[in-house]
Amino acid sequence: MSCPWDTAELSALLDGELAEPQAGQVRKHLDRCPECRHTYSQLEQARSAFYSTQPEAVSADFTRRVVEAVGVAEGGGRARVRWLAGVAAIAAVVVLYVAWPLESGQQLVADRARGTSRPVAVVAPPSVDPCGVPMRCVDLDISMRPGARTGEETPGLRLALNSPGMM
Amino acid sequence: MGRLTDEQLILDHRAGLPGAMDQLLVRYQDRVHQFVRWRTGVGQTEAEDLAQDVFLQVFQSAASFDGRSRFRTWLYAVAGHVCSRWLWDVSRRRAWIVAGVSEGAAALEVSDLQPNALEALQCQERDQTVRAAVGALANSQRIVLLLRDWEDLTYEEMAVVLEVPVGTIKSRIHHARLNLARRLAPVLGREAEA
Repeated sequence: MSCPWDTAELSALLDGELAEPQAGQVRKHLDRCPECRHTYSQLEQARSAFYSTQPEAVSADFTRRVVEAVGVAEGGGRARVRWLAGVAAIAAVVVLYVAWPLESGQQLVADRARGTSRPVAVVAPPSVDPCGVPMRCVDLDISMRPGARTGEETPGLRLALNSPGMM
Repeated sequence: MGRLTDEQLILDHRAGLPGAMDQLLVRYQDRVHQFVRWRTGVGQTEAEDLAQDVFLQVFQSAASFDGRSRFRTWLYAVAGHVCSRWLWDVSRRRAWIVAGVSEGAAALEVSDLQPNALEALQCQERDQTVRAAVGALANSQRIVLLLRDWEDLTYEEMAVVLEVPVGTIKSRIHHARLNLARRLAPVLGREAEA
């Protein structure tokens, strides 16, 4: 190679990767350099030869396998979503079960006053903390209550969010 | 109705339209498989497994395709990542083997990973010669020809896919074509005379 031109520019020209005025400069050089014209021709032939080849074909069942794999993966994703939804539903039921008996402390006091609630045990922390700051507290009231329909007493559990001075 | 673009098909797949995925697969599976095979140097079966991983990732993460690049650039970028990860795993295994962690295991030879350059092909003589010449190129050179001449990616897109500078792509393509031309000189010379 006696031509000092960077022949990589020839491939770039062939691929349309050179912008003007660079592309014009390379074309001008090609007009007057037989060596680079020959190289350019070889590059064109090589490109054409490669373009004419075909990739190796995949197995006949490749498409089906991929479609099935995607289906399984997406199915797995949906199953995970269903599982999480189930867990969320159970958590919601547990929260409702715990929260349902929560009534105001006043209601609890009223029940006691009417005698409809007979405390078996009441756990009531002091309404003022050791520093004298009023606290909110929770009554745990385990009572025997008359059933709504039969009047028969059944054990009941009440958690009452209480205000200071209520007890 | 005209042929749907790749970008339309991936949107259709996202929307749950049946058949879109199959069309994209049929369009690209052979070339992606070839890309994976040349990138990693594995045999046909393992290359199919890797190509399956590529398509699995593409279709599962279709929502992340933002349309800023062409679909095929994104597809080959995913393929490139899958291959890089595989190569990294292989190199780690090799390091373990060399370090004697896996005593008695045969060391993985680079030659084991190379495709048979002169694989028998039941084609015409010219096609056989061209394929043999292509097979004799380095994997890195075949890859750039595949992306450029089969997939029509720009140098910039190829640089993204292969994670190398544009200048490297330019040089690699040029040397790949010069090598190919040199190997095909007898055939191309006969054709020029005829």
